[in-house]
Amino acid sequence: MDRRSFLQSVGVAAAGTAAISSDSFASAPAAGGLPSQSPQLSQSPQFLSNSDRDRQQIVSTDLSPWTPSTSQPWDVHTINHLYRRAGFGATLAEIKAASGKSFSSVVDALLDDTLLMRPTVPVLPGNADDGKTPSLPPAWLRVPPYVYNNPIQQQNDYYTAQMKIRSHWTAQMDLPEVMLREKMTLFWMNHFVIEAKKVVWPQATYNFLTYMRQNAWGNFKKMVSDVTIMPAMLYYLDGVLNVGQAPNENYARELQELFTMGVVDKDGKANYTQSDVEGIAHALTGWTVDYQSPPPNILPALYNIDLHNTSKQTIYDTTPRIYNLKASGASMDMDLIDHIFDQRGDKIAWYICSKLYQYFVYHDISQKGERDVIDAMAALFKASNWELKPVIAALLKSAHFFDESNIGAEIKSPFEHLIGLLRTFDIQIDELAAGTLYYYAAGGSQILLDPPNVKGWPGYHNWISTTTLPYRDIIQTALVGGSLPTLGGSDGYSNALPSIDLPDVMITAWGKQLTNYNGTFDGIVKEIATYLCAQRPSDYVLNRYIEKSNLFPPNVYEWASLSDQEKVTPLRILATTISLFADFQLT
Amino acid sequence: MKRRDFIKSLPLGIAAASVPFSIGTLFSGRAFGRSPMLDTLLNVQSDTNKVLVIINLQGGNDGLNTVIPLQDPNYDKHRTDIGYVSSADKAMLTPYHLRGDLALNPPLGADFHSMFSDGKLAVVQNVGYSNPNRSHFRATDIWNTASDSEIVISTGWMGRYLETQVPDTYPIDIGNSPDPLAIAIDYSTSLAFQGSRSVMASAVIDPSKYNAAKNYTDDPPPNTNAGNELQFVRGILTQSDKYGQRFKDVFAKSGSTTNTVTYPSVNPLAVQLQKVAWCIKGGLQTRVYFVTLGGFDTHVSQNTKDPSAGQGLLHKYLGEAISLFQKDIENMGFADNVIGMTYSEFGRRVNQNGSFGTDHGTAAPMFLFGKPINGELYGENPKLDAAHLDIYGDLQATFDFRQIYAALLTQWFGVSDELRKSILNKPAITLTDDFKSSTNGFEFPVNGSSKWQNLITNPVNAVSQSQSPTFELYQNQPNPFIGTTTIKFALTESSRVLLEVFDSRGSLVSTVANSYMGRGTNQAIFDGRTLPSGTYYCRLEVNGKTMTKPMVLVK
Repeated sequence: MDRRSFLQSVGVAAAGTAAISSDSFASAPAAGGLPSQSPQLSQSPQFLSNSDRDRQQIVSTDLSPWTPSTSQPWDVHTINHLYRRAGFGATLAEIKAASGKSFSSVVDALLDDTLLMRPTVPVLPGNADDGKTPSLPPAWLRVPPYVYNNPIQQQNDYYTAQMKIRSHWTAQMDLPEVMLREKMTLFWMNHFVIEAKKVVWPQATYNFLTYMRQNAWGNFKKMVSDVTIMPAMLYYLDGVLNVGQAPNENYARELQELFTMGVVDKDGKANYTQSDVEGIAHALTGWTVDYQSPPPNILPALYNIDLHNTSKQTIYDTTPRIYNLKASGASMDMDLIDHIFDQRGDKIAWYICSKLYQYFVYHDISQKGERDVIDAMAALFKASNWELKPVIAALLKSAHFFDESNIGAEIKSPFEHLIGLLRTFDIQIDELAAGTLYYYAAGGSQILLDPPNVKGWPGYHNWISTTTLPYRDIIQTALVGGSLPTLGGSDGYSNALPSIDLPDVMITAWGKQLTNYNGTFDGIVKEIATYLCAQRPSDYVLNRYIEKSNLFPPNVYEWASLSDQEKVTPLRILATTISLFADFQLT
Repeated sequence: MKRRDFIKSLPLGIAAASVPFSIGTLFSGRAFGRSPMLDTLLNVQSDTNKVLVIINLQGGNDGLNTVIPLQDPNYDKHRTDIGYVSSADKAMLTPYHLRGDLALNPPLGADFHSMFSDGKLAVVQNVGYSNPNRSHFRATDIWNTASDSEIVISTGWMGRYLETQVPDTYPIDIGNSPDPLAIAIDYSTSLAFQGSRSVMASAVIDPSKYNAAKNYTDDPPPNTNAGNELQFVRGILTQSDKYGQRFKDVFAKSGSTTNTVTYPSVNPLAVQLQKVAWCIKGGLQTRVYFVTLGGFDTHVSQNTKDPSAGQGLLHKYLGEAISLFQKDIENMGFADNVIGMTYSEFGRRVNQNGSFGTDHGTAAPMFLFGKPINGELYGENPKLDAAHLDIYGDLQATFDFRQIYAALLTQWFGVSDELRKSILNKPAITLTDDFKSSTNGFEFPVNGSSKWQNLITNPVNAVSQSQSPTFELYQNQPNPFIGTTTIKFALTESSRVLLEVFDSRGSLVSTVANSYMGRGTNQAIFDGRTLPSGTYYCRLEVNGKTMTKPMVLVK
């Protein structure tokens, strides 16, 4: 099944199961009159384009650290911002715990180097010769190549293994301890892109994913070197076919365009030429995959000197020389990667930092304020000798990161949306339920291991459209209403997956953590809105929530006196109503 | 029954969750009772009832194995393993000749050849642009924004055209265009539809099963990055709301989701074109549809000749889907109103690579189809000898893709020469931008060929447009306003200007300026202190052309 028809089967099934009749939201037709009776309705918000927007002054345009203040305290609003951007959101309990600690120590805890992943799954070796003892991968991963007589069985086993990788990955994202590591794993899988359907071998895909998790904030230059000869990448961008005198340029181009420096630098000047693409392609010939290697370490990378192009290459107008010539071995000489980083270091630093900035702070980097911060990040990145951790730590601790202009300025990705919903209500999922969630994300156009192309998901504004937004409304309404059903797809896998439930008892437990659970109705509306939405709610929008939720007495005036059971439905309604506003889609 | 008891009595879950929200007090939108006089004032064009279907072939379709120059010895030399080289190969091409020296790839020709013979398929050879970019993403952007290779711009060519057809406040105010201006059958739209203020297309996977979302807030957003994004989401919600009901109406029509041909469900392009046919049949006035067929990035095992794999399969899909769609449209009686166009971000390298594939290249043929299309062969065969290839061994384009865009804008959408030049040359909204090249707005005919005059058999007559490139009316500041507001406008040359304000019934309220004004930015103050609250329209007239902006007066 191709991506489109897959998405359709998922999306349509969901829409069919969980259809909200738009009639139930239908407004009374306006009585043809002019808006003069109600002036506020006639205000037509201006659509600001990037060029004509006159934005609020950004307070800080470097990496100077943030200090909580009376005007912007370390409270639910700012704690939420950190956990939403550095992870997928926080539970009320986690916010409460964080409020008792120093802001700086909370960021440091997110960057813990020892926490890797769910303990139930063994860590796999990233590369054959990384010095670690290879532990045996789970049996379901060990689908070796070319052993089946029955190709249909082989396809099924591959598909099942890929689905398990996806479920496992999805479940990882819901783990609070590793939220930043998972946020970075998602970043790298959308930077060093592979597509499982082209890589085919599940173990190669899994090793690649695991490598990204292990190196979430490792050394970027080492990552580039490693990725270049990882089997998944050798398959995905045709390195296995890049041979001798007839090179295949696929990887050499994307190595520069997407993985390191971009087509143009920050001033719009070209970073490389077609000659550089060809030179790097030649220099990388000879790297292929060892099909004969026995389990558990199947399909390692292999260098074959007979396939290497030994002519001198001119890369970036430097003296022609031979790169990457060696007799044998499973690791790559650093000469080519050194050359790329030596010649294009500034451009690489800026490109990678601009992507990190867009991911963590704001996607539009056309303005000077944002670009100044990226300059500072790039300088730090180079000074740290391509270590990522200092750059990420400095950014997350910066006053710029906490600028109110940037809080709530990103659009949720499908996983930020879905995992965020789970985190909000403290719903924990096992790997089966994670499979259900995976299908919902796929319906929102984010299919793990299957991005649209080598550039990955374009993200940001592209996450939201007249197709995906109503779909999100269905998900929110279903889950907050009590249950996100299994999708019952036709692939023989999703049928067996469970629904994800939010029973009354969990709503009550959730509500009791709110300060205003026994307080005023206005108080609880404001508290829920502040927790659910990234931007601080205005009085206008709070009134709108109350109006749209259609909760009338006794909910409004007798809130404090309602029983726990009586509060369940109003809480569901309030949270659902707020989720249907534009504000909820921002993070 | 008390309301809370009522709610409690409902089974929770999805079906029930929607019930408590049957509100009926929701924001009712801004339903203007707009008069014909006002429409005339706003000078919004009536619908031309012309539909363009844009088919994007993603990944870079190899042009030389699409339209094959079978008598060129250089083709044989460069395509030893993946081309039609042997005499048996050449014989396979015989039924699909466009001319003695040119043939369609058989999996494509199976359907396309008869369309060509019937005069419903135009083949434009060797289309590209100067200094071609070989990145998928940059090249796609160049095609979608109609920019020069070296210039990065943020709006799309279709977006720039379509935004001249609606008020500036679109999509909050959709003007007299009740249907989406453009529909992308996808999860998101293309950069081709990005306007200077908002996206001019709606993304819909299946309009016949559409669930609308709604926008519930219209307070001014904060003037911050976050406020900007909030407004973006609200715009999408508004579009979803407004068009959702319209989709319901259209697809409630008897038979609107039936077709006169069978679109194979395994053909990913046919599945999309089937939905386009539904929309047209149901009566949507949408002018542009955007569909995609991916997978053309054939670095490895290109399989041109095999109708069940690689490029061969994609060509089979392409020919089959377009030919079925064309038949369907003809059977339904819309043949005179619908045309289509294919494009891909680049063609591929002339010389095959070592993996039985081809790397990224440059120019390639484009197809245009439909009854109104003058179905012929346009342009010379690509020149494959070393002297004519560029330094990387790639083709040098003989047509600029914007020449095809220009022909479609002028001959199909009836865009004036002036507006066409502004769409293809001046993408930014300011008048001061200096676009260095192609100042002629991609005039045609080119290369002395008179055929370009008639890419469309009966071209629409150009009509005068509301927007002229020689002046610009800016949104008044502040807006909404309480007492007075400043109206700014720019002139490229000194002109006589008439600046008037009308109320929402179309009555003249005030003549703000009626005099000769200088080049550059001018401004005038409008005093609304004696007027009632409401929406007013400021109209600037220069040399017989007008621009209008709404203004909101709040007391």
